[in-house]
Amino acid sequence: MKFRGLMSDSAAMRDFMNIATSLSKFSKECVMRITSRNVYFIVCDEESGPRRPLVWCDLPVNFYFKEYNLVGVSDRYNEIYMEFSTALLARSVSVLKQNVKNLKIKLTNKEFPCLTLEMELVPEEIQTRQCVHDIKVDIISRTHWSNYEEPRFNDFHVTISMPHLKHLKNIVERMKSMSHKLIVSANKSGRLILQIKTNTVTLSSHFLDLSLESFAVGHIPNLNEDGEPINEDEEQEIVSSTIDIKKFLMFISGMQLNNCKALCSIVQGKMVKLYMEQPGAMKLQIFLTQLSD
Amino acid sequence: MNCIVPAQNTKVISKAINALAKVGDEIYLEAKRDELKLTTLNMSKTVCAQCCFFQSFFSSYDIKENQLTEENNETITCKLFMKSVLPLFKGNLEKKLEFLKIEFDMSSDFMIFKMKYKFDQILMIHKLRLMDSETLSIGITPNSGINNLLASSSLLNQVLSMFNLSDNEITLEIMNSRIIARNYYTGTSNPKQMRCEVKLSAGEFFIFDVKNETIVNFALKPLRTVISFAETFNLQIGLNFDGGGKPLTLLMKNPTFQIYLIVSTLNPNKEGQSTMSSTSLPTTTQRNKKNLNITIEDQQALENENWDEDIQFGKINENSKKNNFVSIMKKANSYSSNKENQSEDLNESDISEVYRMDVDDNIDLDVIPKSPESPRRKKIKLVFSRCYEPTICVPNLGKEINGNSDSNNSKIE
Repeated sequence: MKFRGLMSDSAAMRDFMNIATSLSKFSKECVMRITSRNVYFIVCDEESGPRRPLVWCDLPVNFYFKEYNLVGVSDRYNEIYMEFSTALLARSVSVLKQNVKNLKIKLTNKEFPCLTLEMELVPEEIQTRQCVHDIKVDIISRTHWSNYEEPRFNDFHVTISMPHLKHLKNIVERMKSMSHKLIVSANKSGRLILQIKTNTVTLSSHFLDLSLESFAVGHIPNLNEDGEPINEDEEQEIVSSTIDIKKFLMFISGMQLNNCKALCSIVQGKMVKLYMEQPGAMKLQIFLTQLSD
Repeated sequence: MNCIVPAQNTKVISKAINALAKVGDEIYLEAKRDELKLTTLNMSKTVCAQCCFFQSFFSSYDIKENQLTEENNETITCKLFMKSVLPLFKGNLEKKLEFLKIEFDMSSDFMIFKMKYKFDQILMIHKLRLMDSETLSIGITPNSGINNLLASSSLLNQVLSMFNLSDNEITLEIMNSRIIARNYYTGTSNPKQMRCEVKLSAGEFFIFDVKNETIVNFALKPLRTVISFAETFNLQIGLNFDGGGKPLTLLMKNPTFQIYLIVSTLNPNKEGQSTMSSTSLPTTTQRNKKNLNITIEDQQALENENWDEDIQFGKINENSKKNNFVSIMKKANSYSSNKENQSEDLNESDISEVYRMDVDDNIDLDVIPKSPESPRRKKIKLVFSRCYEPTICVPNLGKEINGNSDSNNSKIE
């Protein structure tokens, strides 16, 4: 197993730092999957039970790395899976805030398997200073790889683009103090509704005229209280899911990414997927499942 | 002693005292003819911090000549609690104060800090009680090492910014043309922490004078203290040392004051240096011979007497053999003062208590302690506790008047 990557573009390094910082806010540990085309960061649900990816982030190699060498577990499985602490990675790459010439990421074996980050700093014009960080990693054996497969869901009832995340964050933060459940709903006319319900108050905020990516018509039976279908305007047809408000807020506020496209997909009563993309540089998917009552 | 610190320098003195507070709990104050020194030492004697304010630091600095005698080595000394000094130097003093006046009289038990505020004509007077007077002597001359480095505080700060916040040691590998700073040394890294290594070239230092390639390992806490102090006043930090295992001096200089911290170090490559006790700084404290009124003949007599055999005094512990005369003097002093005016000097009697405890320790050396009781025996003692009491008496129930009832019955039959 060998891995070595060299980053020297300052934009790439900045993005890499932002992603690492965001990851550290989502979870303590993350899995890095290295393939010949992409580098993935996978955060799994920390709760017990079958491990399902909560965050799936993929970074194209050709955008980030100038030089890239990978020798995987075997010729057939030319990949490496490893797990390490996100906090340490974020701490290490925070050095990139300074004037850094290049960043080398390597898999090394010093006493224990390490992810070694070598940064060459340029404090002044002439001199360079070298900083080496070693983060302990756990290599994941091939028998466990199946836990980290990319979740593929295509049958969302609605996919709608999200408003500016800053506004969302402000509203959801206030909602969080009142309830722990958030009802995310969207309808065909491009309306996204964030709602909380408590015994004393029902609070909902509506975001209008958002662009609709897809909408599955007629999939959801709209039932009234007696269980009879309502034949009303299609305008009223609404898809909603109840999710944990803390996790939602964690992702909204943890994201340090600028000018990226954000989409919200909902499966009626099942799950919400947040999708963020910086074309050519990063794709991030966050899976939030329905909160059981 | 009387001295006045002008408003613009109160910031320096307050930051300096805050820096000292991070090291130790007591301040030793030494006033000489031309400088005022504040010194502190941490509990394990591995770090010693000293601030030296020159005469030019003060707007007026005045010491009564008659107090500077040969006996006290031309210094006025006293010792203060850090806890009592520290609250005085909180907040932005330089904006509020017009001046700070420090007054101290050798015969008094108090040190007086007078703070004159700019507005409202307020004069605040703090009277701080002194601890028992002691002088601290450090057996190291700072700045005597052969390796000499001088760096800007920002360079060292940048290095530390690459370390973990929870790191508490730094290892510097010093070579002829560069330095490698690490937060670990081979074989002792903690897998839960990030290992960090920063390579610095000689050109990043203002002075890079290395005669002895070495590895030094020392605590980061004093270094952090020094850096934060240096950053506020834009000072350069000097490192002066011989090698690993020998003390290292962190030095900051200004025309009107200088601050240095002496830090004990380890050489991780050498064996037998792992304990902190072996690395502590060679410092000694001496009680001042303030109330000592003994003639020279008596002193000589005291010196010649072999106190180790004297049971009446019996205040000899092993350490005292090192600083023979002085310790004997203070013992004599504490003994006599204890006897004569017990109520007058509380601290003195405290000291003699300590010595008495030492004596007890020595006496007990020959006595082999009892082996601990077995749990079974303990239980027996618990159940039959009454039997073990010294006052046990078998209850007298009186004479038997009637015979055994069973035999009586048989008789009737």
